[in-house]
This record gives sequence, structure tokens and C-alpha cells, in this order.
Amino acid sequence: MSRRVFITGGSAGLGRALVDHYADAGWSVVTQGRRAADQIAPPLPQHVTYQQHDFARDVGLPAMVTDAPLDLAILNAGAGHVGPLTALTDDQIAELVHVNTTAPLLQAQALYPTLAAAKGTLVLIGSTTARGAHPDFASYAATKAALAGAARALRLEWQDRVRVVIVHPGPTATEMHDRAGLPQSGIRRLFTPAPIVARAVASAAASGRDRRLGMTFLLRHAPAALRASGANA
Amino acid sequence: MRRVLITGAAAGLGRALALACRDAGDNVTAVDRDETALATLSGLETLTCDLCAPDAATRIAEACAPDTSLILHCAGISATGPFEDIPAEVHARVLRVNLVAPIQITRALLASDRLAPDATHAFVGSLSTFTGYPGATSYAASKDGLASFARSLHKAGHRSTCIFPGPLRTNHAARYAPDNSDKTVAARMAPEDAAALILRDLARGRRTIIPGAKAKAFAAAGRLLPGPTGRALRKALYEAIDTPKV
Repeated sequence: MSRRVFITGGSAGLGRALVDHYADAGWSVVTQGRRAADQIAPPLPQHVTYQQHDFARDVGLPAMVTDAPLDLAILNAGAGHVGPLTALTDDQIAELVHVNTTAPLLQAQALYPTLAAAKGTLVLIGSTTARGAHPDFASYAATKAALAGAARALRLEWQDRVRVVIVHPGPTATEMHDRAGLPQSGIRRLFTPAPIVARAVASAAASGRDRRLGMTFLLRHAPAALRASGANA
Repeated sequence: MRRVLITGAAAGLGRALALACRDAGDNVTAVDRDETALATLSGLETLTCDLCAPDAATRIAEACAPDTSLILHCAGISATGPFEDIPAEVHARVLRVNLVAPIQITRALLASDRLAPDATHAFVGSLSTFTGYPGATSYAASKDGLASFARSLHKAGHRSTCIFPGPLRTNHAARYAPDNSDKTVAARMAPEDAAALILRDLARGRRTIIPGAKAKAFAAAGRLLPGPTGRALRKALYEAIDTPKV
């Protein structure tokens, strides 16, 4: 029987690249995302199960990941925000923390029985901004630092039952940056293509070790980034 | 006369800080959801406000005295026990009170005309940022988020400080700790002592405040030996709690 993976935020960006990666590797993939299934381009691979879901509203999970053993869950869905703190409303602050921190934690909690049944792995997607100070996206960085703190505590709690891994991607070439309000600029041509980041996430998931995709990773993949952005331009 | 705004001011560390500031001659505005406990504080302005209320940040900014130069974010809750056994709504509330509210309040204050130009924003985090905290996953998350926010806020040009207290002799600790034997309670630092150290370090302009030698030693251990520190805490905190304390 093929191994089962659940990926959130699978309709675009890094989540989509993860869906393709695991589908290619022969896994049985369940994913959810905000868009309607017919809005996903290119269409998802044939055997992928997709649920349209906006967990700004609730953290609901498809039944198929809560009623049978699950080998791997990658809680990737997230949102960004770029700009001064005072540009956010109270609701936007609450939603950012909800989507990036609270919702993945509550999903992890709901997935615990099926992950434990398979002695599976939980992967949280942090950000290199979880460390350091980030005046232009203070709230976003706080949500990702919070996720890192949760991963550290949860790994100690679940040590013999579910492996807990956090991967901190650096700047990745996805639409999240447009939605977050990051202006287009030449520097964005260096953002790592999502499929390359997806491979790094998958390798961290397989090894069970945390990974921070910092400056070295960014530079190592800069040539591929330039080729990809050139091809898209 | 310095003007100070303190959340979570009716109990624990917040109360000790509020009283110490008052006694030092500061003009204090004390915010707490516990109206009865607030009423026992004399000689300061009070605002009864639950930080989970949708208009909390706006009300607090309105109640803040003009020219306030110190904001102490002390309000906080916890939930201890196995992560999967703590009700989901409790995890959500911990993040709401400990992380969302201080960011919202800071935003409202920065957007208002109430702050002195060099106002200091001080956030009460937790020693768990240095040591990890198995058995309080959502609490550890919220406090690491707060420490990150304090760093970013400072870099954005607003003076800010994060305070990382260890266990204190407060109702908060008694409520969430696995062991409240006399010996354990006696080993916790009195909130009045922590408050004095915190105010001293704030006056010195420190951006990271770890009150007391014991807390500093734990922080160093957590940084230098994360593996053994984590295992020790798992035994002392996580394995000692069977049913959640929320």
C-alpha cells in the first residue's frame, strides 16, 4: 500500500510543489487549499484528493486524514504581510496569527491519533524570519517564531509517538509575496523556485531533522532561480 | 512624573510591577479583566478589560494617559498538560491573549497620540524561549512569538524589551505547575523581587531582561545544552502532568 501524506495549502506555491513531489514519488496525496478545484493551474495530478477549504474560518480536516493511519502531514498553508505594523487592522493581526500559528497547531492536534497510529511525521513550515528582527513584517515573523517554539515543545512531548520537524524556508518564488504586498523587484528573481524548496522539505521530513534554508541555500540555488525567472519573464 | 500602562495588573507580576511603579511615584494605568482584584489597587487609574474582547486594543489606547513612556504587557494565560488533551479552544485562547492582544494593543498605541516619543514597550515573555517547554506547547509558542515581535519592534525604531522570567511565586504558577509542594513554591522568586529587578534593568535600557541568577543559569543551560535541558524539563514538567491544567 502506498504511503499517505496530507498537505495544507496545496493549491499554489510551495504546497502545490509538495503535492507534485509526493504524487510523483507514488504517495497517496490528500490536500486542501483556498481555491476552487477548477481554478488550480495546471490541474492537480490525477490521483490527488483535493478539498477546497479556507481555514481562516475553521480548521476542518478531510475525514480521510482523520480516520486512517497517516504517514506524513505537512502543514504548509500560511499567509504573509509586508508593511509597517500600523498598516494592519486588529482583524488582520488576528487572522495572520490564526492562519500561520493557531490553525496549524489545532490541525496538528486533530491529526494526532492518525499520525500516532502510523508512527508518522508532522512537518511544520516556519520561515527564516522566525529568527532575528524584521521591522517590515513584525507580525508575520512573530507567527513563525511561535510555530518554531511550538515545534520545539511538541517534539519533546511526542518524542516516541510522532516525529515533529520544522523547516524554515527562505524567500521562495510563490504568489504569497504578491498577496503579502511585497513589491516586484530584481531581487525577487533570486527567490528559490518552489520545487527546489519542496525537495528540501521532503528530505527534512524523511530524515526527521529540522532544516533552515538560509543564505547558503539561497545562493546555491540562485542560478536555477535566475533560469526559472528568466523563463517566466 | 512618568506615565505607565500595565496590562494584567491585578495579579502576579503585573500587580507587583504596578505597585512598585506607583510607590516610585509613577502615574499608573492598570488594565485587567478582574474588576474585583483591580478595585483592591489604590492610587492608580484602572480599566476593566478582557483582552479577548474585539474592542480591547482600542479601549486600552483610549484609556492610556497622554505622554505614556512605559508600557508593560504582563497579561498572560497558560495551559499545561499533554498537547493533544488540552481543548482546542484553550490553545486558541492562549495564543489570542498572549500573542494577538499585545500586537493589537501595540498597533493601537502606535497609531494613537498617547505615547511619549521615546516610549518603551516591554513584553513579558517566558524563560521557555531559552529552554523549551514540553507540556505547554501553545504557551511556549505564544511567548516565542512575543519575543520575536519585541525584536522586530525595536528594529522598527520603537524601544522595546522582552522580559524572560522563570517560575514566580504567583497564582499563575500555582495554577499551571505540576508540583506545588512547599519546597517547590519556596524556590520560586517572589513577584515583588522580580518586579524590582525588572524595573532596575528597564531603567538601564536593557533589551533582554532575565530576572535573577537562577533564571539566568537556566537560560544559559537551555542555550548551551538544549538536549539535556529539554529532557530534564520533559521529566519535570510534561511527565508530571497527567490531566490538563487550563
